[in-house]
Amino acid sequence: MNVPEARHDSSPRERQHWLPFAAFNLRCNPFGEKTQDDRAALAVVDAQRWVSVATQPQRAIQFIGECGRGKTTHLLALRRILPEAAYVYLPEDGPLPEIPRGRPLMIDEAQRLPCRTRRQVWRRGGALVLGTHVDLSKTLQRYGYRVETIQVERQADPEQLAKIFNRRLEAARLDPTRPVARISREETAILLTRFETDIRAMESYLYERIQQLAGADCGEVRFID
Amino acid sequence: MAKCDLSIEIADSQDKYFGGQTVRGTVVVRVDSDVRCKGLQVQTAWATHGYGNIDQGVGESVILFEGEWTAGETYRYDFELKVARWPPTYHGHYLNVDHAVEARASIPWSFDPKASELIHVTAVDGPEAKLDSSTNQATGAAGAGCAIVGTVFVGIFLVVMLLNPFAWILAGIVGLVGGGWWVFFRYLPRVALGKVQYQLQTNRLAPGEEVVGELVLRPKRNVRLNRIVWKITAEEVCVSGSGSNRTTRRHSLHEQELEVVGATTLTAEQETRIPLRFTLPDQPFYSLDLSDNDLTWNTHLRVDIPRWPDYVDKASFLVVPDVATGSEDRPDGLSPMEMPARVGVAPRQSAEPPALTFAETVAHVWASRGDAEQTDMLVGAVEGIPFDIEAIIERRLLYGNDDPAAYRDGYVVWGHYPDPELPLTLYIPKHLGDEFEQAGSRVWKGRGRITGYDRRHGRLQVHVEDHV
Repeated sequence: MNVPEARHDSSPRERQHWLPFAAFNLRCNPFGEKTQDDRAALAVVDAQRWVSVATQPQRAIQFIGECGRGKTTHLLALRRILPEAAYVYLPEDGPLPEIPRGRPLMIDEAQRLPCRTRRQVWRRGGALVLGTHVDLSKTLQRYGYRVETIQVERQADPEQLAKIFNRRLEAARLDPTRPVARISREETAILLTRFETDIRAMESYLYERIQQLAGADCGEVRFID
Repeated sequence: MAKCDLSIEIADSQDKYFGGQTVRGTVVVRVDSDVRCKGLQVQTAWATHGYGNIDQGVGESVILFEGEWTAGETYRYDFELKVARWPPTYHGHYLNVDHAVEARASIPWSFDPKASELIHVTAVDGPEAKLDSSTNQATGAAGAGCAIVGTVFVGIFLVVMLLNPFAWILAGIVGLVGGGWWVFFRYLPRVALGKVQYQLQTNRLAPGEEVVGELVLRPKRNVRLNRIVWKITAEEVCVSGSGSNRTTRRHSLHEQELEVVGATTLTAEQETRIPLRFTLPDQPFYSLDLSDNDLTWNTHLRVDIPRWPDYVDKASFLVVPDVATGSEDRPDGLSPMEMPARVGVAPRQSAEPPALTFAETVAHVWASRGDAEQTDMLVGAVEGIPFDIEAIIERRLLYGNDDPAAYRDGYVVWGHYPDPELPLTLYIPKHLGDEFEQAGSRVWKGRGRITGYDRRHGRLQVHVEDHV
């Protein structure tokens, strides 16, 4: 656990002393909600390894996992480097949005596709990248797809989590010449024990931990209570 | 690797602004390799952050450059942009609003380099400043559309009900549950209390103003009450995610409960009027409605009836800067949007002193001294706020108490702020006069309030209240 000390020299960032986490060299709480673009930019995902598969017809990649495990993050990270990709999120309630065309077509919460719509989309034969709670490989294979399946939960280990959270901390850095706190692998191992693989729950917990420091002039960043 | 690097330099060494004020600065572009820029854009923008889904907006935007950049060169582009008038900078628990100057270079086939510099914005207008007539018209059309769609759905539902006898069973269950709730929570309390009317005098208030309401009761029979309680709350309500992942978090900012009436008996057929009053803190939290990020003020009324369901009611109100309340005290001829406003800065959660200092106010006034409209707006926004004052004393005026703004039997002193040297007129109460009799160029410290700007002499007017 790194402990940055609050500095009181006359750096250019002294002007922004009114920021609640300025003493910790953070412009905001790093674990708050992000836009889709920011989530994609901060994703710790080796998206390049799927690029060749994700653009070929009759090829499908499905990211399987429960809520909060990183399915959407994987889709957004891929979309960021594939300019012809089309992304659609299927809500639980309300009308079904129009399914766009893209290379690949990315469907988040694909298990919510009604059967008829699913058949229509699978028949198109274009490259697919799916985020789903259930395994759709059998139905995809019936339509001639070769399917690659990634269980996103299996990717969550202490080292990976430390990278994810430290990237968030780095993105919230206020003054590039001063350090920010970093979370260690030991601490992420504790988080894994408490929250299993639910990354969203970990972020929510870390948000509250950091929020307790709001307004402090100095002090220690303790990620785990 | 990025082909160029952007940075933003804000002019005047300041990072605090009022809504609608102009921010000046320079975008600096350091180029690593030859590149074609499709557009270098700079804008003032705001965005929420914290727990809720992000909402954002733009104050003003401009394209500074389009064309070719050469490797190894550094380019500088000056800009002047107005900051958004609403919302104000706010740092809460789940809800935060920050303003920034943002620059972005559109580079083909590459991630666009970006830079941003955070600035602090204090609101001088209310939230209506961001609405335009087209939004209001769209709301009206949408409302009519919803009514038509709703009527169609009700019609289809009724046809299905008539054709399907099993639907009657479901309708019966729903009706029983809904009806039972209505009887217990709505009908029975009114049976006991008779005519009940609860309302607020106004639903738009400024910091320091009084929330005024009234409860009117006229029971048909004598009714005993345990008590009547009135609660005022302010809370952040933030929603994150969507669909099944949608979660709401609430954080209480203020909660105060007042027992307005103790144990009592209301007389049958007699109207009882109960006044309700609560003074808002001087610097409360402004109401915010930013998509999934809200800061809401509510009043909750509970009439505790022994051995009977309580009567409960709720009314909301908005807390906005002074100008947006449309106070009848505004000077003639000025619309609410032109009215000078008191500054109400949404404070941080910790018990911090006000975000705006006298030094910062002086810096703003100094920077805008050539623009009469801007100066008037700034001074009007801070008028009446207590500050710790610092001034270098020049002289006490011989006939100062001819000045109508002077204290009775008080004194008028000319001085200036140490840096920048903004001229000041200090109105000194009688009991402090001796301190300024032997004025030399010394620094005087005290407590006072800004009360105006003397355009003829170019001096900021301050009424001193005490020394330090």
